[in-house]
Amino acid sequence: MTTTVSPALRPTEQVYAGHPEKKVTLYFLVTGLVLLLIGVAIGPLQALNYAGIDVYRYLPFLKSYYQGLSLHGVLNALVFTTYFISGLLLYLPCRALKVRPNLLVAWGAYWTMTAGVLMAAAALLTNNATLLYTFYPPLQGSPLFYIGAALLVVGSLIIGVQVIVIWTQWKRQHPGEITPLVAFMSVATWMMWLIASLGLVVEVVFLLIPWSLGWVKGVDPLLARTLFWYTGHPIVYFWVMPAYISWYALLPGQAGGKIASETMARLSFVLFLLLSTPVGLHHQFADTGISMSWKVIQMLLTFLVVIPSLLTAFSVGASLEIAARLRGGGGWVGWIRHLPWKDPVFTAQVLAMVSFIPGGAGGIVNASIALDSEVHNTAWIPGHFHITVGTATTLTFFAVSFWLLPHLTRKPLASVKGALWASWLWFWGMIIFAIGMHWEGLIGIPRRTYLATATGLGDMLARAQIPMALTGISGMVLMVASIFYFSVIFRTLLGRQRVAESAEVPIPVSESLEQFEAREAGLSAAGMKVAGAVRLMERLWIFFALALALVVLMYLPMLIGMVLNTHLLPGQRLW
Amino acid sequence: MLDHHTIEKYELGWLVVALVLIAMLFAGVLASMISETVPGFFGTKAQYIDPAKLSQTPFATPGLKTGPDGALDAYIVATAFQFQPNVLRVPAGRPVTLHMVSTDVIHGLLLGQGNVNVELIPGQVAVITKVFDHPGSYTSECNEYCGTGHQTMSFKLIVEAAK
Ligand code: HEM
Ligand SMILES: [Cu+2]
Ligand SMILES: [Cu+2]
Repeated sequence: MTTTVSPALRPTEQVYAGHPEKKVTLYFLVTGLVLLLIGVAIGPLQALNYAGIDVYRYLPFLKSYYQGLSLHGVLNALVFTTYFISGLLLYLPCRALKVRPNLLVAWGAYWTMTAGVLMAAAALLTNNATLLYTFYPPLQGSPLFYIGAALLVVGSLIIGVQVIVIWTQWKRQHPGEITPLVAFMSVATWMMWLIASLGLVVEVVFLLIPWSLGWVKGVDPLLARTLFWYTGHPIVYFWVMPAYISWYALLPGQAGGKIASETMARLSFVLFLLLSTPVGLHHQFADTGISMSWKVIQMLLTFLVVIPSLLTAFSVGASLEIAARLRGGGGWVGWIRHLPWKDPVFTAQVLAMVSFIPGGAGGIVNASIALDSEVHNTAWIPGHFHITVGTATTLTFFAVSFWLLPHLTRKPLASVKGALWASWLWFWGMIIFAIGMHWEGLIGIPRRTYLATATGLGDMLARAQIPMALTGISGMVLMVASIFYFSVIFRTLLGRQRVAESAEVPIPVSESLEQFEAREAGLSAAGMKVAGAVRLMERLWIFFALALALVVLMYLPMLIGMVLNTHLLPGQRLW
Repeated sequence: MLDHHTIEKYELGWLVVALVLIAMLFAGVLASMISETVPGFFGTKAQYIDPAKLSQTPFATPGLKTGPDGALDAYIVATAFQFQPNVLRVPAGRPVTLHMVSTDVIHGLLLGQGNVNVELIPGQVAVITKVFDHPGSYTSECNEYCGTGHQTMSFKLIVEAAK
């Protein structure tokens, strides 16, 4: 084991002395996780509702099912993810580039975000923003909610711009050098988010805030919805790409192998940058007032974004196989046993990846107009995104927290066993959940419904008894999983023992096969031959400009049509 | 261990497979839409009605109407928290044009038969022509959150066998 130093000898501040950005990163991660804890606590109640069991009448602190659901959606999908990603994609690229971020800016972003979340939380908790996380007008909430949401996004953009600026300066100081993979991927992700967040920012700042403050008398619901989904789809890539960074660039090393192909890894991130944004219409296939031609074009683009995900599946699979064979595994599938299954950092990520296989397949179903008409707004949809953002992303972030929190604090993970239990239970819980919800959706059960008291679904409920039971059971499994997870995390954070600096958990940056081969051949990093494609892809600004042009082409004509033809409606409060 | 050139070659092959799969998927979905498995590929027109002025339109008296030429038009109005009418009877095997509109906030409707699934954005009229082939009674409910009474906003489609 490692040498431990008594806490008295090492005041907390000294832990961060070498890398003060560790502290701000830790704040981002831990704040995100605490807010996730609140959001996740409501999940099992919703699962019980989808089993036909009403617990809400015993809960005085929630005014309605929908207030709880608003908290669940906002805290889990919007708040937790944004905090965690801002911390992770600030820290990793800065360390990879060996640059210290401007701490004033980083803390400024943290407090902007936190001020926003406190405002939005005040509105949500007082039942003044029971709008669900999509807040479609003309349902109108308190201005605090919208201003808070805007500040949350602005906080993330401050971090994003900071990382892009740091990278641009690094490029200037290192002419001809290739950006390290992790930094390259982080910059591509932030560039994507810069373009993708525009819709939400415009919707909230120009339409919803003035309207909720009473400065303008109406809002056009179709225009607002379109702007919302302009951001609402690419936001899912904003959730998934950080997980891909971990799978591509960190997991191979954690498993004891190599990155199978760095070129392909970079290519898939360039494709994400180009194609993530002009696809939001696939959430509006059922909307009246939007022409079918735009829907079909964006459907095609949505299918194209499947390609980088298929590339990821290949590469990550290959790098795991390399790892297993290096560890002595063999055979067609026998190598799988030789992977480090006792390590929760590894296991949680692999389970996250496995959940993403049906998750991605379901996404293709949702994206095709002909099939979407059967599942749109049914329980199928939450079934789908709990195995994508709710598992592929969330369970990967759990894995990240298992090494990154010990790395940042130098406190050892409180319980490896507990972490393994949390990961397996979360995985199986979500799989059962997904089976139940997808099945209910095919029967026609709507999502976002206080089902336990619904009046008009009689015969449908009778046909859905088995899947509803599955959903209820999964909620209980997930509750146990979250108890395991959060107790491991809080015991780690509150632990008093710290290891010495020399024993710090390292950042698991992996070597690629290309680098490995060059090293074996006795070449230095500088002497290594770099593929032309990698040099081309270094010009991320060009791809940024192309992505922007594509999104303008796909959205501007439609948006102009809507703006020239607005129908303003006053706000309604129906809860 | 595999060298990275071999892996890259396999991966390029995989990229080509992926592209072919996507092309086939797109063609398949498009073919299905053109053959009208989902209503609305041809001839949907955007139509807007001021929700405050429904009284001057056929929506003033919701329900099924038979035109002079025998054409069937059904007018459905969604308002928190009910559909009018909340039971719609249509004959099997004949084209019915559904006209649906919301008057206040966004509602949604998925009919248990016929791939009809629409978001009703206030004032934006959904116009869908559909032949319901299978007689029966189909329950559904508003499927877009519209407020605390959302779960009580039910709708029933009854497809009656031709006599
Ligand atoms: C203990 C684990 C969880 C359980 C049992 C759970 C359960 C549920 C259920 C049953 C619903 C459907 C409610 C409805 O449509 O009426 C739901 C919705 C949702 N969940 Fe979860 N969930 C969990 C964790 C998560 C996580 C980790 C995330 C994201 C990171 C998440 C994001 C969402 C979102 C965005 C919605 C949609 C809210 C809406 O429709 O407005 N959930 N959850
Ligand atoms: Cu989407
Ligand atoms: Cu409704």
